[in-house]
Amino acid sequence: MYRGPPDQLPSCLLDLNWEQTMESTGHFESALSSVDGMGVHKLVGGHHVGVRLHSPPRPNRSMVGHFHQPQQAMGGLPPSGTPMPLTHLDQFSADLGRFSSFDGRNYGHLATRFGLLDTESLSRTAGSQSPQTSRLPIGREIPAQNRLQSDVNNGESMNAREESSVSDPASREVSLGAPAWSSEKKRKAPPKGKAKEVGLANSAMDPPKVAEEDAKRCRSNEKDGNEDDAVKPKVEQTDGSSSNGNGGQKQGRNTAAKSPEPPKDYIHVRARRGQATDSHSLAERVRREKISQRMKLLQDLVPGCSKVTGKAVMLDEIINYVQSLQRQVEFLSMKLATVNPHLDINNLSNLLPKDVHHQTCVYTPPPCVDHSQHLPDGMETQSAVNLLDSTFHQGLSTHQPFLVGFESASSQLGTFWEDDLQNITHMDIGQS
Amino acid sequence: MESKSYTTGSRDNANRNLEGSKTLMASHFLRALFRIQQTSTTRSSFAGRRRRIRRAAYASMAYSAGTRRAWSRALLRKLRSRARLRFPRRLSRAARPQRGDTDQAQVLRKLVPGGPGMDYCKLLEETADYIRCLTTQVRLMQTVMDSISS
Repeated sequence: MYRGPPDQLPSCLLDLNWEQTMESTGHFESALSSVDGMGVHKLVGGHHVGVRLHSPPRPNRSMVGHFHQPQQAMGGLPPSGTPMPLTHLDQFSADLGRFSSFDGRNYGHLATRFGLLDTESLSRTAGSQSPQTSRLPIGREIPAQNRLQSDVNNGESMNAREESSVSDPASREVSLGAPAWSSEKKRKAPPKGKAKEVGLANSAMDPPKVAEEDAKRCRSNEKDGNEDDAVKPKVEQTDGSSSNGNGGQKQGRNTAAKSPEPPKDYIHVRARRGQATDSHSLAERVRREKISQRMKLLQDLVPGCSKVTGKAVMLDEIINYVQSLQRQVEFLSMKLATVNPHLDINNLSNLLPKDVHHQTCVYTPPPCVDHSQHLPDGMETQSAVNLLDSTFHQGLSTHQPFLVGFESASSQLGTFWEDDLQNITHMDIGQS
Repeated sequence: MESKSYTTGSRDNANRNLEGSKTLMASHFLRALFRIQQTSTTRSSFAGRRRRIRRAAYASMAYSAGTRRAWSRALLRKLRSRARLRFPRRLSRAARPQRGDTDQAQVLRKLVPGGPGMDYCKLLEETADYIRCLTTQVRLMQTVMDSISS
């Protein structure tokens, strides 16, 4: 049976039991979010460990290689200074705000979370040095699986485009000269990458929602016209920075000629090698990633599933677990029905822990032992009594006022739901 | 589609709301139990009482989840509709027949309330929340059992 905490001491509070058991599931989630925050700080602080996603080995491998060359080139990187990171953050947010205006997507969240900060710093401090060249050799090494890398590089190329004053015109042209499909990926990949990576990171923020919406918007825009979309960034860049507002989502019907150039940009090839580029397959891929993320969630919830791999086996386990839980509910309701006559005192005593905030509940077994014998049933009284204050004695004579008091105290219960419950229970009586 | 952030948001929200939802569930369930105990007489059958307790368990589960979740909404709908069998139903929410579903997914749809009306992606998400709530409810009932019979 999938029992929770094996030893639930009767003397323990209802609260304590639950918190201990539920926290075990909660640890994972809180750990994830904390790791994510730590990762960002580490990056900004110049550790250059790599983007600390929740699959650390992969990004480490790639990002370390990524940062090496620029680091050698410029000593001005933040390995020195702690004040640097803060200023970087401010500048980043400003720049990322510009990003959002560029093509209407909110890269700010993603960047702050996933170490686009550092790439931002690289591109800016690099200045005349073309980040493109530094990226090229790395592009070959890294396998196609690393979406973060592709996303970072895409972000970098976005940086290059965005900061026209800073980046090399040569690098700009190279990025401009990227063919239709690769630039299409540039625009599709970041929101997709955002959606994926935000999902991977499991960080509880609005960015997931924004990213999801952006990915959806991007996808819907793509479906309007793939070829047209691909051309947009080039067209806008050749026009200049003035077209920032028009870019991104407002895909007009510019039917400029598609660039027939073969992909020179190794980054994009690496990112999407062997994968189709049409909107349907991209949407499918995003969907599959969503499903895999949710399967991971379920894996954490269902005990004994951490080592199981494969969707079919996982699904079987999930189904078994849900069935067993429902069977347990049936079984426990049967048991509760058999011991129903003894419920009254326990209802009151178990209610009290929730009311702890209103009373000061002191765990003093010895003085209360006497009172326990006053109780008619005299069962679990330890637990009841430990929580109780003198108010229990007042309520002891009549149960009703106690419950009424509790009802007034618990403001969470809306009258709407209250009525529903009463309807249900009244109908219950009516039916049976 | 993502009215709620599923992985990230739900996890943190689950952490934040865990205490509140547990309290809600416990208070709701205990009050229902108390009411059942008060209204059950010597005439009421054991099976009837058991049925009522089971329904109270699911009701408190759905109540603690509120309307945020599709499964809780479907569960509440089911509870309410069963309570009002005599009155004509306004709308029967016909689920779109899901194509490309494995038989496992079909089984899961039957298990999770509101299953037939969701696509596979949402089904997984709702299953996760349903499992979370079910385990909380089971633990609650176990605690009540233990405290009664100790």
